[in-house]
Amino acid sequence: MTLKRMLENWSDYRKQDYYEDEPYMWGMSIDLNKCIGCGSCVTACYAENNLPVVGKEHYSRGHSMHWMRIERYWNEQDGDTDIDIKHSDYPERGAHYTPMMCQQCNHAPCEPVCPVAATYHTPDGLNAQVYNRCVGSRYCGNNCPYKVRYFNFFDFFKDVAHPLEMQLNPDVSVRTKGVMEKCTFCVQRIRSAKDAAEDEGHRDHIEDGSFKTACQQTCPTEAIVFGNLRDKDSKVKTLWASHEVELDRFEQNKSEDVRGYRVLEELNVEPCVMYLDRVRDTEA
Amino acid sequence: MMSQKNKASNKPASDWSRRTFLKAMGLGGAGSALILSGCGDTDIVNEVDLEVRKELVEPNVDPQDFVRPGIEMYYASTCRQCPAGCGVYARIREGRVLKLEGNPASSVNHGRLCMMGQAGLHGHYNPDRLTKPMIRKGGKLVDVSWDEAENTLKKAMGRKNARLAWLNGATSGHHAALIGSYLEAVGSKNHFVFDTLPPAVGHAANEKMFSYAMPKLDFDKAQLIVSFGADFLGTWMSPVQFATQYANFRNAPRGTLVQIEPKMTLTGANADRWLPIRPGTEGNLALALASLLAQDAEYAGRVSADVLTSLKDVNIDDIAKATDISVDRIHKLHHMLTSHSPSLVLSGPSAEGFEHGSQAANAILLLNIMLDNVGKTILPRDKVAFPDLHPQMGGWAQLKAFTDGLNSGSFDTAVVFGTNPLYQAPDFMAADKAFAKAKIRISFSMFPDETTMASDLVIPIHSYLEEWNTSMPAYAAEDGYLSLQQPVMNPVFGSSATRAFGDLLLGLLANVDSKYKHWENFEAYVMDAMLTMRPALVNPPKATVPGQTPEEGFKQGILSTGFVYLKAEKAAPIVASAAAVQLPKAKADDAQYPFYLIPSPRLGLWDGRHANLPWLQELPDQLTEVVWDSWVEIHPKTAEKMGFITGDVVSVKSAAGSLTAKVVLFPGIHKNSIAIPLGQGHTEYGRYAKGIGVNPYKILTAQFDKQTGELATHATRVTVVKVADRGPLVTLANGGLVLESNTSTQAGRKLVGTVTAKQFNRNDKEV
Amino acid sequence: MSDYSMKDIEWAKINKDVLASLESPRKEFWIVLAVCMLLVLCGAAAEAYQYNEGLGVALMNRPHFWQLYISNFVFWIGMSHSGTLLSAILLLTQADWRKPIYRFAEAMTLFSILTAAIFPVIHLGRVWNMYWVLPYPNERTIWPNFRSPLLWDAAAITTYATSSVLFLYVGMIPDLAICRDNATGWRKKLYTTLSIGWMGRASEWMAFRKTYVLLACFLVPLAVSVHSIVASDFAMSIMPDWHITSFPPYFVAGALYSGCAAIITLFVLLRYVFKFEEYMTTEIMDKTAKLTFAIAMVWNYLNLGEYASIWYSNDMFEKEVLLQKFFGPYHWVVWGMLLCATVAPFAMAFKKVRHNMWGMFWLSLVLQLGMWLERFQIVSPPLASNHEPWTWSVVWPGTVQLTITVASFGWFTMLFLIFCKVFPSVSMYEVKEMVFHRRKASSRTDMEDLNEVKDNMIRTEEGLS
Repeated sequence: MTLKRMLENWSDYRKQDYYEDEPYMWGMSIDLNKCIGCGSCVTACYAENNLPVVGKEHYSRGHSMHWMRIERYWNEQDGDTDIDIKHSDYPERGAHYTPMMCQQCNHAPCEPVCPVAATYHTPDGLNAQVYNRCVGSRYCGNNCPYKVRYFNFFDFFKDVAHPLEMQLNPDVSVRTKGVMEKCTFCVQRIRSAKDAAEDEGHRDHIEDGSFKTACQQTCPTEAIVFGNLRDKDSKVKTLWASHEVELDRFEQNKSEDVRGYRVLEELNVEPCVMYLDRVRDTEA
Repeated sequence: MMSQKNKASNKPASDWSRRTFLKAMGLGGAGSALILSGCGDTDIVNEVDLEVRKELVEPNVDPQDFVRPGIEMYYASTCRQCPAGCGVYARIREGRVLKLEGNPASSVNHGRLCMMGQAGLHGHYNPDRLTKPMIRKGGKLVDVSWDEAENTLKKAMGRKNARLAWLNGATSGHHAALIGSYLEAVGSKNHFVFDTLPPAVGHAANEKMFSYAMPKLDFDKAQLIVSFGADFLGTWMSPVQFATQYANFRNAPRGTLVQIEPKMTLTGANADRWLPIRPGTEGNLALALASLLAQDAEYAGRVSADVLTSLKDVNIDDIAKATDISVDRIHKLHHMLTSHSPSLVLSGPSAEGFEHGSQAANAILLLNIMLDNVGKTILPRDKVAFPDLHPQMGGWAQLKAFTDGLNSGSFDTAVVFGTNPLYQAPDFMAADKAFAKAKIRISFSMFPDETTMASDLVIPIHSYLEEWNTSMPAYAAEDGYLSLQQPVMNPVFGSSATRAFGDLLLGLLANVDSKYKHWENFEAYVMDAMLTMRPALVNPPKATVPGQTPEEGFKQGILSTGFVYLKAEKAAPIVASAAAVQLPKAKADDAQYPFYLIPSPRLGLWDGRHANLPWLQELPDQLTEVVWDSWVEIHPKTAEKMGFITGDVVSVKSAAGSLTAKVVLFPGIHKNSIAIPLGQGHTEYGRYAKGIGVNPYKILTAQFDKQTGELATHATRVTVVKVADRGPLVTLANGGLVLESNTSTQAGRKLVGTVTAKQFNRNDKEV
Repeated sequence: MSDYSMKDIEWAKINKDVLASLESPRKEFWIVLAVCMLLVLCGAAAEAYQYNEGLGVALMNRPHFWQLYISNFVFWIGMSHSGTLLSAILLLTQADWRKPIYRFAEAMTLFSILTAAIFPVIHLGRVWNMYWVLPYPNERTIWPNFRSPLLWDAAAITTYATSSVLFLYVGMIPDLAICRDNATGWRKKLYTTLSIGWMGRASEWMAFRKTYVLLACFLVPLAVSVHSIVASDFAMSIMPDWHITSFPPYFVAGALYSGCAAIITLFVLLRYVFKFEEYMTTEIMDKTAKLTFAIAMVWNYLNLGEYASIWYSNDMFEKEVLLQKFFGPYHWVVWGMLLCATVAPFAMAFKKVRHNMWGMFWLSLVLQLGMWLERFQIVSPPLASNHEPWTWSVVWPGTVQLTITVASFGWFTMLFLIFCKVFPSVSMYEVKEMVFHRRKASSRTDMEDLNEVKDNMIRTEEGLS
């Protein structure tokens, strides 16, 4: 074993902000003013990431495997505050949609609890899940405040009907039963973009927008923006800055009416996904 | 197909050295993948004989042109999942298509796709695809060889026959042109186009008022959109295109959307104000608004005296009572219309699906004229040549004509392609009985759908990812847009299993008219046509690589872009003309059938054509979050009165029939209406669709729009009776396991924050 | 020192009675054993099914990633604390009424751990990779994650199981020698091997006493830490109503509580099945019941303290779970727990109840049911109403989980019965000691100091050698 090596490098392991020098920190921004809740992103994710279709029976038992889900609420945070519709029998301001997937927390609660370290933090800020290492204790799933980890309760691909298996993306593992999985920010696309950038000779810079996640790519309203938060000029960083959300805070110092927020950031999990408030014209 | 792999694995393993074994595995795997995908050359596999045990230095799998193992390729093509015709990039690896992505250069979808476009792959790789031709023998469909099928096909269709009737779904481009030529050649005038969702009544009203069936709509220029049931974000013509415009419309300064409809659609869910209106009274509300506008000379001056006279009788109080929209709200709407300019008023299927549907559409569109939106947000179409290529959208009236013709015995041969009338048609039309009257029924189809399984001759055809074609979008963002469709991979089941519809029809046409013998196949026909059209194109591509002929360069250019623009003649401004609108008095409540039935289409399953795509079955309905099922949406207050809770099994009865489904309490529906989503209730159509849910179209009563003869889809009245207690209902929010407190509330967390438009406009200007 | 109304039993009779239990139990013994084995078979079948199909057949889901398996795990680990408590703590505090009952209590400890250890294993998604949780040497130099409470669990359980076996075994050596002297056939061989040549010399007794007390000293803090670690499985998470600082003492108290209740159950059972009426007297039951009552009150205090601290913290998430516990879909579990584990123990305040053997038997079952429900309400309701309202859902354990749960009781009882049939379930030498003391106490007005007795024995032995 490497006890010796571990002791020798102890000071390295103990270093604070271990990944500070990394040129990448992947982040996202989702504009709920634009999101229409159609669900195109969900299907795109199925197609890109080899998500199984579980069927009605399994779905009814809560075994569905969509990495991304569109949540639809009818009321505001604390019931409707909008006087105009407060006593209406109808949701006259429409629905409240939000896409919810792994928030790639920097203080991810799922990471420390995994007994075999199958989920860990990559230097570029992703919350990686190593399928091969996972033994399926499911503690991470319990400890995720967003409940966006999906467990393979069955071998869903065992009986996939031919030729549907021909659609499977060879860049993404097909998961077996007993393994936890979740949104990866399309890590296969990130890696190939990094490789391509390296081939072109720039190791620490990927052109902003040179690749997109599957959900971002298909979104009909461009509500989803993905990119490198360490890149000062990236679109996502500009959005985070202009909507006054800072990554390493659990309470933001925001100017009035600025729309940026992160879901459950008060838990100090440092999520890497920023949402922008939904907008309604209350004078309508 | 799999033979090579099987052969390799059947050999006794003991003979093999380890290296040979590994080689065989690699070869077997990759080789069969290539053959399966059809891109592989079988010679590659035969080159390496395992018995010889020669060491090969070069790779065992000799890649084909354009195939680099491990490297993806993108082919431009066109999505045919709905008539919108978005441009797609198909991601190919090792000869298989893995993912569809929007073509960023396409003006229809700007690189985006909807879930139906994404799920095209599931149609393409569907395990229930037809792979063998079938002929009805002794009352049963049996698999036959292609030779036999082609002979039968030639006998039935390869001759002049005025009694041949042809029914196809919404189509355009060279398929449409070829179908036209074929019918002309065989001397048949019985061409019918039937598609459920294109708003035929609205198109007719547009045509009459603006001289364009589908004028160009400028959503992002509008400050206010008032939509009477036009679900432009969901199922109204070109959802991706409109959603893209919608996103711009919502940028600061932010436009306001008011949606008026009895059942909340996806568009309604995103409206700033969603108004539940009593079904069938949309036109009345529009008239009320028009009469309020007419009080101001500025607006009144834009319409004729006839119209103004007819507006004089309008009584706002009566209309408020009839529509369930308060007088205050009507005045508020009037105020909004006058304070926001330009605006855009849309009429959609839930306003048009009545006997007075055309009149209602006229009343609604009239507002655009009074508000002076014509020329601002409603723009004319440029005149594009080649009318044969233009989209044909069709409608219920044509289906009715088709079944009437069959019933009267005027057709002996019925050909169906790309539509499924036996599933869609209401029971009262008895489409199955009419269809049975044809002497021979032929279906060109990918799937064993209801119509196909009732046919005598079934021809399995290629998917849209396997064949050549061109198409024009149902709603073109820029006029003259003609998109190309090319095979992005070789046929999934091999060329001997399925055939391209274009090839088959061209062959039949060549039988009748020998000048079509000139083209070897449909690809040659399309390419030849494109070359011929070259002078009529905007900036036709030229040769880019040295040594390329201009033709080759052109071909490569158009295929890599995925679309061309036909030169179009600049349009003259729209001269709108509105006639006086006469609406019938709102119908009194019916004690026997107290509810209006709303058959609601949903983005995903569409009109039911996508029910066999597992991804879309598993995608929750955007409003109720139900998957893999049909349900009855009832307002909670109504349900409380009737003693229903979510999951109760109810029977929905109309004068024409009844069906059974589970109740979903849904706040976004008018209290006097119920809604059943379209898409399910298939009796055939493969393992993913068959036997799931119900089809609300089946119990529609025989009512038709008086002007266009279209089916009045929203006019059926029903009664609802509970037949069984609560059963499990599968929804996104963890199946049927939801806590009683339900998931309608955010429970104090900030999951979806909301700010007002005023705050947004103040802050997002700088952003 | 002692006022037990235990009859003056001849030492030889003690041997005879206890050894008889190895030979001729009542016929109910065999019926119960057969039923237990059947249950174990059912459980094995259920697990085989789950292993082949995937964990989904257990009907857990998202967000209910954990359910009965984990609550059973906590329950059985809790039960294991009784043996340690009665044996080690009472040994150290020199409460010698423990003597007739500690042996089976220790056996219970061991078998509870063996039962508990099954659950974290079968609840894994990929059981076949369970050894990855341990820091074993491997060529890829992969370490497990030392920050994970599950890893602490694995370490704690293995340590605790080893120590419990040792404690049980060491305490049994003198008795094994007695067995050896009276046995024939395979039993003779077994006891000869296990008694490792015990001759009953004073030096052996001295070494034995020291070892035994040392082990007891080691076991008490270990037992406390084991259950604190089990509590960390919950307390270290960020789930509302799991992330509670007072969980470790709360879990330890709960463990002792359910363990004591289990001792009462087995006390009555053994007394009846093996005809130990003379050894397991009402007086001992009275003491055990008083101890149980005291622990129940501690547990109650911690439980109510937890509610109070959640209420006063006014944290949205935690308060919500608390309300859901009392009024949500799992409310009957919580109210059932409060009835069985909070209200029912007050019956033990009455002497009449404490002295009624079968009354105590049923009461102890009620207490255990209450504690089992407590474990279920720790695991499930917080998962049902978690941070993310969209995923709120109710799941009840399915057939597979329930079968395995029932089978775990069968497995435990089976092991225990086999133990009682093979090993003396009442400590012969300690009972003799007790009788010896009692006799001395009755013959003298002044109490003989235990140390003096020992000194005498040592002197005698020195003289002999």
